[in-house]
Amino acid sequence: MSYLLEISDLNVTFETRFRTVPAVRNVSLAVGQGESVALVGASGSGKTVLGRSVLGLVDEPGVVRGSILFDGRQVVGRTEEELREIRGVGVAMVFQDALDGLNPVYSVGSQLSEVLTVRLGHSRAEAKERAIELMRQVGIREPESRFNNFPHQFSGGMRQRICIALAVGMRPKLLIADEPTTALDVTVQAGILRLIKTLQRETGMGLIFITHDLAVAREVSERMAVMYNGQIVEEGATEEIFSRPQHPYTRALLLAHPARAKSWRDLEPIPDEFVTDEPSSDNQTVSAPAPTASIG
Amino acid sequence: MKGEDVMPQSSGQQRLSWFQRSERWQMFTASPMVVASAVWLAFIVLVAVLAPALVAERANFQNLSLRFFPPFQIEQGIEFILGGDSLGRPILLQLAMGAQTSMIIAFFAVGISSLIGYAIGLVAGYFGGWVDNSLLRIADILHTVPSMLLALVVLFILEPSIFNVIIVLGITRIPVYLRTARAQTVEIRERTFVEVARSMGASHWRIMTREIAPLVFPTIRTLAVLEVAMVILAAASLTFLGIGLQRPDVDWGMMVADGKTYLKTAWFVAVFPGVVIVLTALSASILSNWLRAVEDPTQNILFARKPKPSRGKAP
Amino acid sequence: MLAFIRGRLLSGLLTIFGVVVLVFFLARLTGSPIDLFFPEGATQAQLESFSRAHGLDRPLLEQFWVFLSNAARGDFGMSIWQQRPALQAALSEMPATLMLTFLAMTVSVIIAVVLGTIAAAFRFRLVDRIITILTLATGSIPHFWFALVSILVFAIILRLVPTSGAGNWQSWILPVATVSLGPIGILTQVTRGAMIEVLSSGFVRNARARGFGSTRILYRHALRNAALPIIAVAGDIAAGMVNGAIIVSVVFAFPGIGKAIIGAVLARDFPVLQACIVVVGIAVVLLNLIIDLIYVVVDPRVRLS
Repeated sequence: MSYLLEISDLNVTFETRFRTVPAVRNVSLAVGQGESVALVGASGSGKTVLGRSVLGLVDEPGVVRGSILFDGRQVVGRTEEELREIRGVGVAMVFQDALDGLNPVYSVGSQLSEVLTVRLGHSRAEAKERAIELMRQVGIREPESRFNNFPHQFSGGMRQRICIALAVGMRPKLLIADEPTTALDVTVQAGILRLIKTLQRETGMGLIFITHDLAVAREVSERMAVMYNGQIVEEGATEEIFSRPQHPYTRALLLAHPARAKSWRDLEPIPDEFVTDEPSSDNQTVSAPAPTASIG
Repeated sequence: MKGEDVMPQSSGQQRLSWFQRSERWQMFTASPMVVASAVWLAFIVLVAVLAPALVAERANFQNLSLRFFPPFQIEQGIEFILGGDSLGRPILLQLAMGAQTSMIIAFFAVGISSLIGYAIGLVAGYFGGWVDNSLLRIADILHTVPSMLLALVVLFILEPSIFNVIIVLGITRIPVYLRTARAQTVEIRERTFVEVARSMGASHWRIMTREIAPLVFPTIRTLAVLEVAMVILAAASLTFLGIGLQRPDVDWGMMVADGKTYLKTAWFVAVFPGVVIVLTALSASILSNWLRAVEDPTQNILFARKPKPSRGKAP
Repeated sequence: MLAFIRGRLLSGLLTIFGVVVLVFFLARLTGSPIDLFFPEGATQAQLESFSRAHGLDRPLLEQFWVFLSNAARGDFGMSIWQQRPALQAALSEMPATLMLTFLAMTVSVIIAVVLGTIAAAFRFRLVDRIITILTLATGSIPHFWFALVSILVFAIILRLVPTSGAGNWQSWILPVATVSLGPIGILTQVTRGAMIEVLSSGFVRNARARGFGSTRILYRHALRNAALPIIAVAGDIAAGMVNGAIIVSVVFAFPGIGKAIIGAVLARDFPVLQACIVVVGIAVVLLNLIIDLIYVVVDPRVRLS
């Protein structure tokens, strides 16, 4: 059978003159039509980079090697212009930073309409009608009156819903949701999850759900892949992994998860050998590579 | 992996400072432009210190037979390599004398404005309230009147002299530092470590001087280096307009003014002093730019490192 | 939005008031303002009668009040050399300056946006570095020297433009270039920084993920956002442009407020100098107000708050 998305032997490294940092190593993963797969791992495990590489959104100094077949077409090595055929209409992505995801100077209505007119060729009137319908679909009340509102007039949860509307509005075959609820209040998380599941059921699109939260993964996915240090260390049916985790890292993750514990005393911290003490990328002072630029 | 190969595996604290220091030095030597700028500024300072004692007399000796002596000829000795001015003085030595004036003005004007602006900015930003508001308002007013117009008026009222030029530039440039120091203080004031210091009973004075001031300092230092360029340019503009100084004091702006009447016949009289001004101001700008790159590698421009590898995180 | 505009208007009025106060105290900096209102060589009797007539022998506070009420009526005294009110002498030179500033602002914003966008799009490449070095260099060239060298090259050697005056359109080229020089450098750096920040923002990445073309992303999504800091800095630069205008009037014998200022300084005509400061102050405040309004139009977050 042919898969919707077939990733094989994917390697993503970040290469500067002075160092090379692997982010994704030898990853192979396949997603079928309408299937939902959760990609689980700690921050820095490479899951976001993996998600972005499907859309060709890994920028310099990142280098992607290997093969990503979407709908039978190769994604790796395409130019920005060629990637436009896939982006949005083939694979859509919802990102973590809901607050920064919408252009602050345009109304949400015009941003929704823009996608529909530019990417799907709708007329202005059609686009507006469809945009309002989309806003209703993602749970925005009185979409007609909020059509001309600007992003700053919406709450974080509402903005993420609009981002989701923007993504599914193009009827993609695959939706990649990268921690879409992490930046939001706990109270709105469940609503967003339910929305994504509902939309997936209605449209029949495939779903890759990137998360660090096992409970979320269990809720949204049929299959699950656990990433650790750039590699997929375990993959299988979600329930299978929950009941019989094979890899020690997965076991450690499960033991550390609050949902299984009656009180915090039952929690097991992740063993030290799994905690990467590699400095995170936003820590400028320590991890900064040696200077590369010079003039003259 | 230059920096990391030789990194000693000792305690984290030591490792960090050693690493930063070596990196700073590498960034310095890695760029010929930065080294050249530093060397040029050091050279100008050296000339400014030595010139008056060594060449004052010969610099001001007027030999009308050497009026507009053309440049790049050494029959009259190396001192006339850049030609002679309208009174037959060697331009090269005049430039050396001018260096002293420019350096004195730059040093003291920048010193005065940076210290006062830094201090007031800290206090205003830390305490806030009406003092802060009125200080900002005054800075706004000073900003609304073009600096050169203000300087012209003050020098109109007072006498043109090096001292008065320093006072004028020293005062008109205060708002630049004040705004910067204030903005940073307001931001730092809210950080956790300041809260912690406050909760442990540290006095306002102690919090300002020990917790906040050291963090604001690098920005002020970078700004001050840039302001050296600005002050040199501003002072030269004033002396060019003939309102900053009077002979026998001389500076580069005055020399350009001397040459402007003879542009058609003796271009070099006006051109060379300008070249020196540009080189000096540019050197200070480049150094300031480099300092900024050292302090904030993400923002900078000329000396920035390539984008950093980001691991599994959206930018 | 109305609150925003009202606030700006109020702060502008306050600033103008501050400028007037500043002028008053500047005049009294030496302790004897009478000297300022008279050319050297006036007799003692002249000085005393002037002093009485203008209340300069009164207490400072009373003088201040008189000065304020006169200033409110636009009365800054008579010009000492020209037989007309000082304010008139200052105002008559304003049209040329406003035109010069407007042209220079337009030219520098256009050039800066183009250069800054190119630099940001080719970040860390050679083009970027060349543009950055150029912008640093433009900030390090003194106005007066640039003006002289451009006369030397374009007027004397190449004979493309006249050396001075404001007769035909060619005579505007070098003055506008001189005044634009510094702002181009500053605005290019601002544009570059703003564009880089915007290009790395979430909504630009999302726009890419939606498959929009790079032209659309650059012009519709990025530039409109990057315009905000550019507009803000353009306002800050307005006052500095007058510095250039002063130099331009000297080097190119160009009309404008600079001519009035330098003329007043050379003739020791203090009333005119006073009026010039106030007029320039008001012009800068008005210009900033216009720029604030543009800002409001561009940024919905300000407009709707």
